[in-house]
Amino acid sequence: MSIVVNNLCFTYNPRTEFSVNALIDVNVTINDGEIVGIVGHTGSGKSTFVQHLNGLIKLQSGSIIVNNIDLSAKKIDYNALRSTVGMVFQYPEYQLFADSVGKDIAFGPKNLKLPQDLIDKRVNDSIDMVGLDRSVMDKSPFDLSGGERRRVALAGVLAMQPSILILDEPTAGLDPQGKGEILSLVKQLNKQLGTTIIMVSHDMNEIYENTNRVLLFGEGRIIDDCSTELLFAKGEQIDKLGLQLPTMASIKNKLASRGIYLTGRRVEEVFNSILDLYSRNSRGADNV
Amino acid sequence: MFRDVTLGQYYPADSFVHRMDARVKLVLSTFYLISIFYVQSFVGFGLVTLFLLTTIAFSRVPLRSVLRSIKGIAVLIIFMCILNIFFFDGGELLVDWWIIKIYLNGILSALRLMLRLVLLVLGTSLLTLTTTPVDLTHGIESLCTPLKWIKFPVHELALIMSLALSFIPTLIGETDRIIKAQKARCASFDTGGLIARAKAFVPILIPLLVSSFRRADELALAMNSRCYEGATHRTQMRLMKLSIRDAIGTLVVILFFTAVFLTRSDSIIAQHLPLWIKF
Repeated sequence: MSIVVNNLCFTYNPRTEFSVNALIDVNVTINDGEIVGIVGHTGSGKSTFVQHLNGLIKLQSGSIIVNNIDLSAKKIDYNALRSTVGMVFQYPEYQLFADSVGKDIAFGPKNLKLPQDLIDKRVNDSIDMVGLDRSVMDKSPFDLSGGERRRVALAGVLAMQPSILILDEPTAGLDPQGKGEILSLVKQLNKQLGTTIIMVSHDMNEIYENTNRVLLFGEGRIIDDCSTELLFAKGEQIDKLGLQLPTMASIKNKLASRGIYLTGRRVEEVFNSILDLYSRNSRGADNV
Repeated sequence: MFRDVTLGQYYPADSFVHRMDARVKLVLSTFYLISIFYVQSFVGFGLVTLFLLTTIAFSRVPLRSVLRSIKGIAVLIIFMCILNIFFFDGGELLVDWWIIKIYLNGILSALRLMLRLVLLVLGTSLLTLTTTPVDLTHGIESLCTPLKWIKFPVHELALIMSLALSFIPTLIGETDRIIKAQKARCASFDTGGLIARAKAFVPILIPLLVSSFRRADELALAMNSRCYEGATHRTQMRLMKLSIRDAIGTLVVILFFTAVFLTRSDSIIAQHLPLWIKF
């Protein structure tokens, strides 16, 4: 049960004067329960890659197997695939359409032709999960605030109960508090339900603090696929691609070049590691 | 899904036709359109086709890109042809079977109609393929300037048009994204009866409408905050200038138009030509 991608290639507008090679020989395996970040420049193939995973883009060449569903097969059960792989697009709040929040969240389960009582249960569960009050259910999504609307959109995807969740820039345009809430929700999903998380983001701090593994895309290829810690420890590569180093990573790299090694990736963790080092050093000084 | 909308899609290239003045191109295209509905004989249609092919060759737009525009109206063409074949009488009776009667004139008029529609679409899409929407709007605005005398809001209409045109790619992208987002929630657009299918578009249309209004609002605000106040005292950034190219183009079209005129069966020259030309 995982995602296995082999020799994936994709060309936009093939055989025309506008043809663009968006993906070139992509090979990757993503295991259950991982939190994987995807980074890379605009046009590096990130979005094209993730849209392949739930069949929004038809496979041209190569193979993808998602939880035993073979996407190179002639007939694909798209409902099964799309309820396995949930996809939250950039600015998902712009895709809300129903006249009430409840109806919008029920859209996915209804398309799966689930019985009504199960639909109601899923709607309630996902409202709870995203931390909204159940009283919003009858409101129009257009009466909510931006942050709330995004959570409604997220609930609409979670109501499909996907075991793999893909998020494209999930926190773009939110204030720091809203960002924190969405990210902690995503981590909670991973911890409690074991949902595999694939997160596309331009915000390196977000990637650094929340993922364990990163796929670095560049010009349609996976340039690097390693642990988040390791990727950002190699500062030059990130620099060369014109991407920004996460704040904590750049502090750690600078200190490491002077022989001081810190641990942790979140601000508090790094801070604690500094404190730890400091108290150990001063204790050492006392002993002398 | 929406990637093959050729009408209004500019094909970037540097060619004779591309560099002609938009105003001249608009006027000449009008003459071309008139000629399509003026010709009667198939020799005349041959002339129009020859002219169109020559222009395409000089525009350096691949023939395939121009031909793609027919796809959109193929159904219409076929439908109109069928109507013409079956419901037109006169001339020699070719087929008489059960209630179906097909006359020679029916087939000929169907053929003419088909040629007219195809030439019409190809010609107009060649205009939009070789002229940027911005130039096109400027051209129309400039050609309509005399209307300002009767207090017709030429500038405002041109602005509305150029804004509408420039938002097409944005809206196509947005539609694409919304469709994908709803598909990701297992929406299907090709199952069920007619009503079910029509209903399936609601989750696309509403977000699209909402975002169009949002964009319009933002744009109005941005224009207001930069003191936009309509046509008064506005100058153009790009001044349109006529060149020798436009003179040559006009000359070619005049020659072509004269030739087309001569093929008409009621013209004096045609009376001395063999009979087959009159078809």
